[in-house]
Amino acid sequence: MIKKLELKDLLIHIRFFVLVLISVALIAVDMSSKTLSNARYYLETALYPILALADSPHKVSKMVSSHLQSSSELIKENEKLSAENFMQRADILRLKSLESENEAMRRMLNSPVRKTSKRLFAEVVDVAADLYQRRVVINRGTGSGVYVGMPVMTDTGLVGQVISVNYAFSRVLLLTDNLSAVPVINTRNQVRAIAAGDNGNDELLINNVPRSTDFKVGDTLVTSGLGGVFPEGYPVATVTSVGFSESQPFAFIKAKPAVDTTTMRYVLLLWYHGNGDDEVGIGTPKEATDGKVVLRRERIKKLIESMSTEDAHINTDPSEQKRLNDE
Amino acid sequence: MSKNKEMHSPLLLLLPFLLVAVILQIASLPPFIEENRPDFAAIVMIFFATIVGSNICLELAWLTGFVIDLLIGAPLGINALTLCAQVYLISSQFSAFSKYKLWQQALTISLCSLIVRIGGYWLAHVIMQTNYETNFLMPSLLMGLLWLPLCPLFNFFVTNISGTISNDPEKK
Repeated sequence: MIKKLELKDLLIHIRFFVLVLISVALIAVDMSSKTLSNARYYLETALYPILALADSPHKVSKMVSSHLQSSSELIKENEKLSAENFMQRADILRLKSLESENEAMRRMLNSPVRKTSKRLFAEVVDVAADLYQRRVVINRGTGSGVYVGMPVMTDTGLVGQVISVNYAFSRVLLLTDNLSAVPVINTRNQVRAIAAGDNGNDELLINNVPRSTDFKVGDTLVTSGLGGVFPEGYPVATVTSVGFSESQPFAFIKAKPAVDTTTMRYVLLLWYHGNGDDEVGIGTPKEATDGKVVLRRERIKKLIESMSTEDAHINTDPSEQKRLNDE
Repeated sequence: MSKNKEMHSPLLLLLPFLLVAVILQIASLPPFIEENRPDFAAIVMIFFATIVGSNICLELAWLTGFVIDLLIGAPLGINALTLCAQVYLISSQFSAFSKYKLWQQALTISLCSLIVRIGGYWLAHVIMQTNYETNFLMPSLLMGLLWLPLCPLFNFFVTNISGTISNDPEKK
């Protein structure tokens, strides 16, 4: 009996040791190479129903609160949105004339003409991310043509870029993540800098800027377009503090991101390539190999779409999609 | 009737409990709990490993951690390792855990969770260059506090549905 217990104790140590070895090997392979990316792609896609289930309480509460709104509130909101829409249409008219003027001038200067890129509407899946990373999940994947490196934004500014993608959903690296660095330009004096993420507090650090550089509190930083990942001119952050130290060669500048990522619910994905080519190359979904695979994929697609009926409704409306794409 | 009850394995209950725990682990919760999110999956696994006395809990904990890694986008293996370490620490170092009083069990779980959390943070810091983090104590304490109502609740389900609970020394 005692021997049996000892054997059981020994076994548990051996089993744990084996599991530790497997974990360390997995961590090392996952962090250093892309060997596991294919396996991850399929496993994450298969686990999408759990993510949808975890997001469902939020969706249900949203649905209930929208149903509980009184008709007078709805009429008020409708009026407000109509007025907003009217103003924005007027702005778009002006924007179109400015665009054509800009295009003509660029042609005169023999500069390449900038085209408006295709956009895709996506919803943030309200689930927790890794504790030590600043990322969000959105309900669009390679099935909708999303690719790694795609810029993500909202109506108030830049959110980040897609860092990993699978068939049903993608993960977006937020600007505040440690791994994020965005080339920015100060709109007041056109000074260029790099805005890097700072995981600890939700703010951006403007690194390696000499002390003599002209940065002031309240300056607006927009994307500079350098690097070819983010299109030029989208708001990134506002400078909140500028500090100097005699012992340091660089200024200590902090900025507040333009988008509050804790409350955002919808985002826009942009098809953008630095060379001005808007065609999707790297982001096309994995090719089907035979009829069976195609049929299975269609079934999975239908299943995933049925799980997120609300956004499917938004995006399957062809006229709305066309309008979004045209815009 | 009692024979019928004996035939149901308590492990059949483990899967639905685990599914709920994994969902709670990734779902959006009120801000205070979100900041100090206890390890729900670890609570379920520790219960089944110690009170029920299941033999495959170590591997199952690793697998659950692996699924959590996939769901939250963490480096593969990191949550698997921390979840499995918590179950291992309690089931190997506290062999009489099921005979402890409830508050002693809660205290043991809190301490083990604290140790594993700090180890997990250290590992994450080495591989991902994470920022300085100090919030370890509160989630571990919450985990211990959650054990107090959850352990009797799980006991109730296991005894009523499967009809067996193996902290009975004769059955062990």
